[in-house]
Amino acid sequence: MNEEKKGLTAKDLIVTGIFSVLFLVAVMIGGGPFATVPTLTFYFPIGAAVLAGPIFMLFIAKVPKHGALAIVGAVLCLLGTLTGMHWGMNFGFLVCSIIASFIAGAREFRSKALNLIAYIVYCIGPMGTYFVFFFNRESWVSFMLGKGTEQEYITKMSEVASGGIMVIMVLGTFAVAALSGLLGLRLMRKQFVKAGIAV
Amino acid sequence: MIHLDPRTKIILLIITVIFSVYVPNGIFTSLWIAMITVLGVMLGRIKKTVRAAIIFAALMYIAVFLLPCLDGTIHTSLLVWLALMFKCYPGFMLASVVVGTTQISEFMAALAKWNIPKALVIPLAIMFRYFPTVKEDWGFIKDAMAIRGISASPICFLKNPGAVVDALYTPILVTASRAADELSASAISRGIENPGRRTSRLDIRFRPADIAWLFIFINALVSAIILNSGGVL
Repeated sequence: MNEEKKGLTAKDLIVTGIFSVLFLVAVMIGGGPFATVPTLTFYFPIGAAVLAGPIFMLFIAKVPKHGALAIVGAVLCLLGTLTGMHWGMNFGFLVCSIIASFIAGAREFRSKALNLIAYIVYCIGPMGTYFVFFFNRESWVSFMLGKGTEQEYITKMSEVASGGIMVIMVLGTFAVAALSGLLGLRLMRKQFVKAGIAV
Repeated sequence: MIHLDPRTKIILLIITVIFSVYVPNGIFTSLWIAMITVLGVMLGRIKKTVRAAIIFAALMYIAVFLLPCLDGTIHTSLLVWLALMFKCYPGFMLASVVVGTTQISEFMAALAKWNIPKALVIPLAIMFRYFPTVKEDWGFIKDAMAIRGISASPICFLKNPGAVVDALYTPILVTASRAADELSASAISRGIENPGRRTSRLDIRFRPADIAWLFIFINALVSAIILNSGGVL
């Protein structure tokens, strides 16, 4: 394949498809249990950030190009919309993966520190829906009720919602994302570079 | 046995999602599941469709007859969980019918007819192919971990986090990146990078069966929304 080629090749697209599956599985296993329990739902972004770090690091090492992360975001956004998630989360995914793509791309996807920051930014994505919840609660509640979410779920959720929870959610996500990203960097160094599947 | 255009299946899936978003759980969900069961059986996916329908019936039974007997926290969490299940069930069930009865070449040829850019079609097609593989690999990885005396359970993780993390991520990510290399080698040698318009041997067009099913689903959606908003009945 031509090394000078700038755009995404078919190979990049296939890698993107496979890693989108892994991202999705990581979100479902890490965050799924939180999302169904109303009092724990605010910890969903934290759960979603736990597993994906190593996947993210290997992905941007395999496809160090700008568009790739944006496509992951677009695919997650599409599937989220199809399964009826709140738009805050879907567009959070899309916007944050594009920003993350630019951050990591600033140093050609090679700087460890920038890759770590990019992963943390990527993890902000799922919080979109909760930001809408905190800043514009009426519109959030009416949107979810219109979609058929149970009234009881929302009542429980509002009971535990407070400024403190939001701080925990944001800081917790940052901390967990940083740990997961560091774990990813360590796995890259220890395993994948030696196995010859990343540089 | 009938054969539907993949584009029809996608439209039916979108109609089902609209149904889930706008119509609350209840009798309509059951009718919708019955409709999907008929469709799945007619498409030739008999066993799995009937099994999914039976599971749905069992959940509905719990929701209608057993749930009122409970109260307190169990009631709330079960109610929320069941509501979520019923919301997602029609979409997931139809999606599994669609994925199970559509070949990947058919799917790509159909999307090419809609002129959807390759940058979206290829990752999506790969995702449909790769999901079952992840599940399969997960079984192998669990066996391999058991041989080494570790497992993905929380207790084992707390005892020996490093080993568990390595034994979990390394095989998943290594097989994923191998699979990506092999798939792209195979796809490129079959000309996926050809810049021209994609052609296909398959004869993909809307037939009477497609029109009939679209008609049934659209009608069902409209009548469910009208009846639900309290109009006629």
